[in-house]
This record gives sequence, structure tokens and C-alpha cells, in this order.
Amino acid sequence: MLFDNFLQLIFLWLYMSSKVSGFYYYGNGGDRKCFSKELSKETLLNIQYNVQSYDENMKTYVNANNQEFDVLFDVEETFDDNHRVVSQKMVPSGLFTFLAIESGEHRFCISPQATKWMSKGKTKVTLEFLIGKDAQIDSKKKSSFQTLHNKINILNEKVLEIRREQKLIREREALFRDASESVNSSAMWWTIVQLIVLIGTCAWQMRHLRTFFVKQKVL
Amino acid sequence: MTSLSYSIIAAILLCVPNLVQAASSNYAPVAINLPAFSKECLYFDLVSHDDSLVVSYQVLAGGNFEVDFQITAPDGTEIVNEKQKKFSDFLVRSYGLGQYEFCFSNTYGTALKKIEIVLELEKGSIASEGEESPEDIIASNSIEEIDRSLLMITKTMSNLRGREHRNKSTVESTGSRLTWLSLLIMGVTVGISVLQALIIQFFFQSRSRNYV
Repeated sequence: MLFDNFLQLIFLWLYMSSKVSGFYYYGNGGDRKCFSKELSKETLLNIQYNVQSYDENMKTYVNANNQEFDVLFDVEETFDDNHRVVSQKMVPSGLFTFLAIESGEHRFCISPQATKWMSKGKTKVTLEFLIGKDAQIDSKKKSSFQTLHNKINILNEKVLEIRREQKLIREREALFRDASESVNSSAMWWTIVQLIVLIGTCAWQMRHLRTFFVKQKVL
Repeated sequence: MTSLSYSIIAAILLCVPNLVQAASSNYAPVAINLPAFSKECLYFDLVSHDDSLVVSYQVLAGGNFEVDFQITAPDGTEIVNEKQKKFSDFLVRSYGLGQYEFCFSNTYGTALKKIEIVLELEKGSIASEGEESPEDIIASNSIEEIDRSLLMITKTMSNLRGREHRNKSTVESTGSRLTWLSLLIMGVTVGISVLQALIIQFFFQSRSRNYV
């Protein structure tokens, strides 16, 4: 029974890894493309990706095999001075998993690198970003109670995600308030400095002209 | 492992895409950077006439926060052509099967723009097939409604995020304008007063030359 489930999962993974239903873009081998995403602490992000290379003979894009391309994944935390958290080399097609350690904006960069001599092959990269745990890997359950249970679990996941996002919003709001307050106080200080400079200049001007007129024997 | 169980596995695998798509509604925006005067295109394939695409974008950072956006159908016709908008929301129904092209152009201004995009298949509501008792149908409907409300909440929060970014940029620009304009004013004040002093000196020097 356990072996059956295990085999199902293996087949599922193989099937899903070649059929990514996400958007794709065209590029060249070696191009580094970056996507940013706001993640709150301990959010699981899965990127399902598939890199295809252009086959000259068949004049179409085919799945790249492991010997031709390596895909390098970088994850940087842009809120922490672009501190690189993860750098991982993976096969041309699969699932990249990332668990956010801190809340903030993370930048995910993908660069397909050719391992052989042809470094300028044209590539087509398909990506799908999935948040949260895989709530869908579930064989068809007959009992409707089970399906209701599953659906409510999915709803629960979504609500938790909304809560996390709201925490992020609160943190950003605090930063924004700090920025507002600092601009407010700098408005006051700059005005005071301007007043001082104005009065000082006035005083200097009067004194300078007075000495000049005294010299000129007008005063 | 009999051949029967293999065929069962195969049958389940064929049903799996429907299960997968029906099970979770994913609204996960990602952001891309668009340098000045550049164009960036993303593509999506539609394989079934019943599918529709959820497309939405908002500009998070850069300049006047506006980009151009085009959607091209598989047969080459332009479905959508928007110029200089801050955010937008679409549900693209099937205009034919094939490759849809979604292009962003940063033509106005020299600022690098950061655009947050959602580009996904519209997952059907978490509906299930098969016979259900009336209580289960009521429960299913309630669950679907909660799901829709949660999606609305997510979209609203996404819009809020865009507005927050714009507000933050306004505050930062206020701060920097304050600093530079204050320095400018002080410089102009000192300059004018020195100039005044010099000119008065010049007048009186020439006057004294004439009368002395």
C-alpha cells in the first residue's frame, strides 16, 4: 500500500515536472533573469520550472537533457543588502523549493548555463510560482466528507497566507511612518537653519556696508 | 504490482491535471524589473477553450509609475493595447488556442520600473465532481463563496501594496526635495546679499571718484 502511494507520487512528480502550466519567456543560454517576490517569514515557495533549448534539426524547442544545461538558482534578500541566501545548481526541469527565513522582498534569479561548448543556445524557460504547501497531491478520495475536509484545509491555508501578508503590511507601514516623521522633523530643522543663515547674512551685510561707508566718510 | 494497478495509476495520472487545477487557486504576484526604454514579453499557451487567463499588473516603483501593455492573441491580433497605466486587471477568455503574448514597454522616462505581474490560468473554483447529498452541496457552495471572498481580499491587499509603494516614493521624494531646495535657498540668499553689498560699494566708489 505504501509502495503504491510512493510510486504514484514518483509518477506524479515526473508527469508534473515536464508539464509546467505557467508563463514562459525566451532567452539565450547564459542569460540571468530575475523575479522579485514579497515573502513573509516561513512561507514556502515552490517554483516549477522547465528549460527547453532550441533544436536546430527539428526547428522547435525540446526539453533539454541533464548533460546539456544546468540551471543555476539564486535567491537574494533585497531588504538585507542583497544578501545571497541560496545558490543552487539544478537539472533543467523540476521543482525549486525555498523557505523564507525573514520577511521581505526576495529576488529569485534563474540562469540556464550550458555545460557543453555551445554557450549561446536559445532557450525557452517556463515558470510557475506556487505558494504554500502542495495541497493538491491527493489521490481521488471517494468519501465526500474527505473532499470537504480537503477543501477546508485549502481555505485554511489561504487564510493563513492572508494573515502573513497582513503582518508584512504592518511592518511596511511602520517603516513608512518612520520615513514620514523624519521628513516632518527635517522640514522643521531646515527652516530653522535657513532662518539662521538669513539673519547671519543680514547682519554681515549691514556690518560690511557700515565699515565701508565709515571708510568713505559718508557716515 | 500487477498490470491492473499500472493502468489504474495511468488513469489517475490523466485525471490529475484537473484535480491539481481544481484544488488550489493560486494568486501569486511576482515582480520584474524593466529598464528604461526596454520591452519585456511573457508568453502563455492556452490549450483548452474553457480556460481563461488571469492577468493583472501594477507598477511598484519607478518614475511616474506608468507602463505600456499589450496582449497579442495567437493569430497575431492585438487584444489589448494600453498606454501609460498604473495598474490593470484582465480576465482573458479564449481567443483561440495557442501562444498569447504579454508585453510591457517602458517607453516614457528614464527610470527603471518594477512591475508586479500575475499571469496564471484561472483555476476553477474548488468544485468537485460526483454525487453529493444536499447537505454536502450546501457546504460546497458555502466553501466556494468563502473562496471567492478570500480571492477578493487577496486582490485588494495587492492593490494596497501598490498604493503603499507609491506613497513611500512620494514621501522620499518630499524629503529629498526639501533638502535640496533648502540648500538652494540658502545659497541664493547668501549670493544675493553679497551681490547687493558689492554693487552698493561699486556705486559709492564711483560717486566718490566723481565728487572728490
